[in-house]
Amino acid sequence: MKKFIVKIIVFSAFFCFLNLLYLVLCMNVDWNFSKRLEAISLENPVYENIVLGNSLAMDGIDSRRLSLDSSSTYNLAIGGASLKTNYIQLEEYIDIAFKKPKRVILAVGSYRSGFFKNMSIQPMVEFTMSDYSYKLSDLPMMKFKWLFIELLKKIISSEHRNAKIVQGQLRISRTVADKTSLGEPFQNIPFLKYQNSNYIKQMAELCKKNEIELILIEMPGFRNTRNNKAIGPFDVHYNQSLNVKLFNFNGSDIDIILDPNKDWLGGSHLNETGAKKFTEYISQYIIH
Amino acid sequence: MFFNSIDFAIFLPIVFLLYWFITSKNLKLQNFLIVAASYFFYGWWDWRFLSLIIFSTVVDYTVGRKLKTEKNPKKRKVLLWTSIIVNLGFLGFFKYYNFFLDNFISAFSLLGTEIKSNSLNIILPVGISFYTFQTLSYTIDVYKRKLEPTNDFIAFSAFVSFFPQLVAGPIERATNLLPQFYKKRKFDYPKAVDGMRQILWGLFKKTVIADNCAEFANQIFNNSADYSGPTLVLGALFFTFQIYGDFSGYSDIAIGTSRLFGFNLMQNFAFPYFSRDIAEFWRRWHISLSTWFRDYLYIPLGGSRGSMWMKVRNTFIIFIVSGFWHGANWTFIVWGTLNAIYFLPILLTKNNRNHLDIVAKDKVFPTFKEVVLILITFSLTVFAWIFFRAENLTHAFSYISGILQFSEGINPTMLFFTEPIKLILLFCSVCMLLFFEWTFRTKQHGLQLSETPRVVSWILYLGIFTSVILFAGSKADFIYFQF
Repeated sequence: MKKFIVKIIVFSAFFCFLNLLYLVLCMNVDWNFSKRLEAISLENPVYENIVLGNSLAMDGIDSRRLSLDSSSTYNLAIGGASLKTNYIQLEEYIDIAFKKPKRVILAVGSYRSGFFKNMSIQPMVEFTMSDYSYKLSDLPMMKFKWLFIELLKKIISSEHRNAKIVQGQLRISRTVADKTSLGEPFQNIPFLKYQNSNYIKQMAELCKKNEIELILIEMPGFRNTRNNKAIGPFDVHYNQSLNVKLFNFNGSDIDIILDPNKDWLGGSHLNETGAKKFTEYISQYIIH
Repeated sequence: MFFNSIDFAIFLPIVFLLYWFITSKNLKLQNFLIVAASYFFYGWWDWRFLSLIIFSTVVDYTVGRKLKTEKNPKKRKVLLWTSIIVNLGFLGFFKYYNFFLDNFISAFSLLGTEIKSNSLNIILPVGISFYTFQTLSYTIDVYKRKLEPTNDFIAFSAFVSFFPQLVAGPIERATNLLPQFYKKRKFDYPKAVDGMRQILWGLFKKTVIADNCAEFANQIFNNSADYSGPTLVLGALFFTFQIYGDFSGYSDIAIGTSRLFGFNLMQNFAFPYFSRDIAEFWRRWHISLSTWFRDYLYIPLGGSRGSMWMKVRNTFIIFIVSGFWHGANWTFIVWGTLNAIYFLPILLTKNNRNHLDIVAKDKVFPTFKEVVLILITFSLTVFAWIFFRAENLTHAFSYISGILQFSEGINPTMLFFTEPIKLILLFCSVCMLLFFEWTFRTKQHGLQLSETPRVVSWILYLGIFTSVILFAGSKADFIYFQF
């Protein structure tokens, strides 16, 4: 029995060591992880524009390009982030910021199913939150198991290996053409979902309290996700004194700007060139 | 509580330590711990259904006691039927009530009479088909005087509710498992180590093979109209490995866990996809259920004695009932019938006991003839699984017509481009499964590395364990829990 227990303990110890190794690997190799670590270790940041959202925004908004048209910009968006995650990130940033940002751009794709319903916290954000209490299920090999496939992609594909994070934006040069076609009838923007989102409302309140302008952006997606609305801006009302502007950049005419064969990365994400073009285009609308 | 959950990873060591360090000196206390742990394990899903297990336990224990003293054959028969009606009554109500009601209504509507449906929203208690058959085996064996009824209620409760095999088998016979509760168990190091290996192998089959195959099988079966003929074949293959990994994986974990506590459960899967004909397949697939039906249904019906017509009738009955046991859906009945049809030529030509030994015993590779026979049997099985997986008969037939008509749609290459790395890893995992199962096909499970150098075996354990964690598919329920 003693021998058996000892073997189980040795095996468990080795498993813990493997977990540690995996965590170190993820922290150093995975973009989302290294970006998250960079964001929480910013010292007295003074960025005037902060971009929030999920991977659509992380890939699709070129913060360096936006900094040229406006003032310094940092892209805090992170892959797989929910609105709850974005709210937490915003709170964290305001806490550490030396100077509060002038503008927060929340860029999302409302066409992604389940986006507004997602109430979970992005695992990397959760894992690195200062007040988080760890559970057994937080063992890195369990919590970040999906990164295993992402790490393998980096081994196999040079485009994934050569991608880099610049001011929070993930720049990937890979191209996957948009072969989809416009849906019939065109989808509408789910204004009600924006309006009913508790976390966008909380972000709006937090921004108002800190005298920050909150801008909502509907990110462009593949043609089969497009809607038939104009760019706007549209007012999203939360209460009498709380309105937020929503810009729709997923209208059917966004192809004027974006080349379906060159500017996409797959799954409605923009690649490096697409993000540059898109950011140039939107800056004339959102930067006064 | 699922075997592949964190909850179970906490539960198992606690019960293990209490079992061997606190209660090991007192057999009754040890059995009581098993009962308590088993009820806790089952109650984790839905404590309300514990009452069904307890009721069945009390009824069968009482019937068993009375059968011992009762000499009158008629009264003995009444006692036996009391147990059968109670156990099958629960099973029938929870599993088949809505099926019979819906079909009854459909039959009347065909005759032009409309009957208002009163179908109930019945939740199927997890594992009811398994523990019902297990307790029935006790009563029938006691009735036939093959087994002495027990005086020990705690031991009997432990036999009915033994947590490793409570919810999805193996369906143990009272003659095998119950006596093990009467004897003092001693910790057996080689048995425990091999139990751990079997658990690891079961986890690999469940989380790496079954759960990853499930993602693709579900995608293809749920949108079968969008896929081309070759992709539909691929979908059926994914399901073939999914169901094997899922169910045999569960059985491996159950058997391995039992061995940690000093128990021996029967082998439930003996490498069925290496079978050379359908009779051999059914001797190797879900052995505990096949032998249960053989002993308590096929043989009482006359078995293979009597005229050829009787043999054919009995074969069809056993396969159809076996299909229906799996679920209240016509797809399972067709699946069972199809297997009976496969079996028929072998039975008629008296070739059903040709392959009793494992293929290529004492050899490394099979002969060309054996390979052909294995491939034919495997293809027949894959075809039958389409009915098992389909939502209904219409779906099954449209799926098959999609294959036969070489329908156009998303082809395998397009599927590959959407998830290349995952598919490559899955392909390697299936190859690994087949390699290990082939290598250890004469043993009890695919990871019985008794003669492998220690360094190699530890590297293997760690590699498999790592893949169980990192390459586990989206967590899916064990398929057989629904039965």
